[in-house]
Amino acid sequence: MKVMENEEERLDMLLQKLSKTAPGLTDAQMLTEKIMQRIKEKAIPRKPTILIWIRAISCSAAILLLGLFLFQQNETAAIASTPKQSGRPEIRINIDSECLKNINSPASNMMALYMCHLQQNSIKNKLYKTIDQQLKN
Amino acid sequence: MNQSTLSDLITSSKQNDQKAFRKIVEGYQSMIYSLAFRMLCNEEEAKDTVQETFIKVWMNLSTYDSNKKFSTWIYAIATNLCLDKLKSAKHSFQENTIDETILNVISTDNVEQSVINAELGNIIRKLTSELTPKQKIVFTLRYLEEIEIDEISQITGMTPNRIKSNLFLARQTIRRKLEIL
Repeated sequence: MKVMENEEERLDMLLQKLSKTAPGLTDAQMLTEKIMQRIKEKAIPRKPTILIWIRAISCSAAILLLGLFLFQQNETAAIASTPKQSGRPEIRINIDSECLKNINSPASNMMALYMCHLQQNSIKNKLYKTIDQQLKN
Repeated sequence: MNQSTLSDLITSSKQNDQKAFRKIVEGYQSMIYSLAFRMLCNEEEAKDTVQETFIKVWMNLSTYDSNKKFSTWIYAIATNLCLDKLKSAKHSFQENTIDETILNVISTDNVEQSVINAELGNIIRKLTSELTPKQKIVFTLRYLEEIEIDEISQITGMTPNRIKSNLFLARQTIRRKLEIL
């Protein structure tokens, strides 16, 4: 038991001495320079906060636009189905515009399609309003 | 370095101020070198670890939580790097040969410190060569760096009980070594 205690004491003494003897940097200045040089050379890519914000805003805007588009589509469908549900006579509207021709054209791009869709919607809305007025009268 | 100065330096460094970051490096590199040397027992590996630590600090400064102690955060980064090195196959526990000591002496102006480092490295290496990397980490942090168990827990992410059991096993192994001497 006493031998064990002695060993513990020896160990504690050794550890104490080791903790008091700190290894020292022989060339601290050079090490600092190396670290700063590596930081400069690499131009370390910090996580750019602005980019994250731009991404977030763009995503939100895209989602919002998509939502608006879907909402608009649903509304059009709802308006189209309303006369049937309310027992009103079904009114079919044919819009023969230049725009529709463009839709079928393979050369037309997405933006043109979307603009065409908006144009169609506004024509439809005007027609519905006129018909609604007429029915009320 | 007092707390308000350090906070100012951290804030400036977060805004890419390299001069401010240099002051942080100058203030903490000895501390990190001491930790890395005691864990790896090799001057070159310890210096590499210091460099890697500060590069990681620079890169992740925006994630630093100012409610926590900066030294604990930086210790955690350095400890993880040391643990990776201790676990890697490349790391060896071979003693510094006389050739290496001579080369170190040639490459430095501070001969005395270089010799002290070499001897200290040999002693720590001899004592801890049979410890597992985790035992070595907690042993170094507790007995050589004299850090409290709660802080070691924050640095290593280990529970206090696990730290205590690792320390107990480390002490037993080292005591057995001492008995043989």
